[in-house]
Amino acid sequence: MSAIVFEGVTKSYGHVRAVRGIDLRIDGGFVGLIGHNGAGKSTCLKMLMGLLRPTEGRILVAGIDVVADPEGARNAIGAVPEEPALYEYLSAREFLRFVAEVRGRGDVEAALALTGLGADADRLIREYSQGMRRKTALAAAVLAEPQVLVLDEALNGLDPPSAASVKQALRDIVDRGTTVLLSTHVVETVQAVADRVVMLAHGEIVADEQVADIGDAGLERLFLEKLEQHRDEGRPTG
Amino acid sequence: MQQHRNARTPLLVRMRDLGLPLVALLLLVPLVRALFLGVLDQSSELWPGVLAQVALRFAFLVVGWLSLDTYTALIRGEDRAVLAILPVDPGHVVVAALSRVARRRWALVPASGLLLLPVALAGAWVVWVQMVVFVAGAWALGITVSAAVHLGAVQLAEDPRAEPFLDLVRGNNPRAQAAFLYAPGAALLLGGGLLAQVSHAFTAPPVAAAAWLAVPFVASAAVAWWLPRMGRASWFRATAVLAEIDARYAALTDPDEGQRVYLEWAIRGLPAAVHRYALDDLRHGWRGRRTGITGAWLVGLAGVAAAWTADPSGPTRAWVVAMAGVWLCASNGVLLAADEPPFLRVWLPRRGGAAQAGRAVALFLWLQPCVVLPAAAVALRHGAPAAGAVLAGGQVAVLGATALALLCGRLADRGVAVYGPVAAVFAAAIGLSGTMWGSP
Repeated sequence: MSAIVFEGVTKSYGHVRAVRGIDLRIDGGFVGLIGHNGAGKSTCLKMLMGLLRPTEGRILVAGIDVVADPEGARNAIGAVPEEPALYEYLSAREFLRFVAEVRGRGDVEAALALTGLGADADRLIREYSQGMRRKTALAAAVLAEPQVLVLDEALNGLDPPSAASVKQALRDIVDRGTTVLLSTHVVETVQAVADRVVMLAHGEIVADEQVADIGDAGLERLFLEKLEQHRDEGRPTG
Repeated sequence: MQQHRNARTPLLVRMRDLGLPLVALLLLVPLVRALFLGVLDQSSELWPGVLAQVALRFAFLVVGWLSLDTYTALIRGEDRAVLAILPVDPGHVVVAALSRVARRRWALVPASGLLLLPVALAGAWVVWVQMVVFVAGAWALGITVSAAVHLGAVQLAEDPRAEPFLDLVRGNNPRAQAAFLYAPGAALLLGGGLLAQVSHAFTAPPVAAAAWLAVPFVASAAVAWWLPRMGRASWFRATAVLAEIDARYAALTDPDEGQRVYLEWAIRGLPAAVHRYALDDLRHGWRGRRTGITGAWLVGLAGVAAAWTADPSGPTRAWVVAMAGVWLCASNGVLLAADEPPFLRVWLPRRGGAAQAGRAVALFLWLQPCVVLPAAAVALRHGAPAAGAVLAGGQVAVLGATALALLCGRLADRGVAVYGPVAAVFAAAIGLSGTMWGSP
């Protein structure tokens, strides 16, 4: 069974088509989703998390339709949205305990250690910096070791040592069987951690490659080439 | 759902938070007595019918208040952003959210009982108990029926069969938003309709009266039994519906709208130091507190309706509406201070007289419809002297409310807790002075 399946997924807002008939199957590993601003990355991930509904098509997570069975799908997904929402008047430790209780499982201390929040775990979240908030959201997403981990620009705002340790931790999670889908517009991040890269432009998949096949420093060039090619085929680039 | 740590407040602070509203309520009792319970000065044979109408108005207020609260708790509340990505049981979320509304608003029932105390003091203890039980029924109906209507609105927003109807009533709003826009009204219609029938209790024999008064509680229990199921069907779906609405609003927004600021023309002559703060407040108020600011126009129209009568009490009624509206709408100044974006405090520190003067000007301008519209109506129907009194008294109230709002704004999050009771006392005192002196 595939971890993530997009079947003919389209998302329209009135006359604006943000996502155009995407078909994607992810069986496992660490997948990077890259694209220019407005390419449709966040829309795809929001539909995957159940925060938006596809206009057409369907999305399956671990075989569960995210629209038909929202609770079941959320059980299989750990997610960090682009702008994570947290309970401001709880500490990170309390918030993670709450999430573990909701999920019925999860190692709070391991998640805190993974994200390097241990020393600040008992301060109120409202006192946190943006980077610490993102770490808390990340810890909440990984603590129950879900089947699928969805990260929308989740490594933005982390300081370099934290980013390095989180990347390593994500690799370890993937090795234990979790599928990670990370969206970012930073090509180097994908090149450093992902096994596979999916490129979006103007709501369509323009490339789907194994990172190992691309070679050093080739990902950015490939991305620009695909974007150029897509524009030449008649898509607006704005 | 989070437990707010700062809820562990010291005893003195809790006593202040409880004591100030209590004092305000006690001071409002004579105003309620003068405005709504004049029948107590007449033959007791008239009491049941009139008091039933008074109780019904209190009940409508409670249902309307709770319908807005349940909308916030179930649909647009802060919990949604946190819980929408977690495998929560939506049925439990709905029950928890409504329990919180119930805990936060339980005081509406004893507060109503306190305001209606003149009925008991006039010797009609049984009727007073009936009125309090009636309001308690409205409180229960307000929570449960409103919740059912709001959750039903999620279904309606996505139902293709409802599209023609929603298109008919949505105006410039996204179609799905029309379902939510009218939900508080629908809750008031359903709850209020039932309560209107139940108000027959006041003129019925004792046993029948007790049966009538039990109806709202029975109906609430029946609706409450269904709410977890409705939550499971609608709560997660609402996230996607709201995202769709917000995206469509963004697409509908006029690109020039961001440049327009309500009342900007009125501050052009201010000194530059004050102008920047006034413009800043006008802009942020218009973006963040638009409902409250346009509420001043609704108050003004209510004042016009009160004044538009040949009855000599017209100016007094307009005066009371204007007074209440001014003190209510000035709370925008306190709220503006409480939710000011942190970056703004850094970028444009609010220190010194210029900042205070800028906010005072913005508040003064926002409040004008509360006073000017009723005064204009009084001028047309009752002559210039009465209108002059409403206008002058109104401006005094505007200045007083503005000063109080600025002071309370300095208390940040605690500002509203202090402003509300103190403003109620002032509004009651000034409003009552108008009713005691007759036509202002």
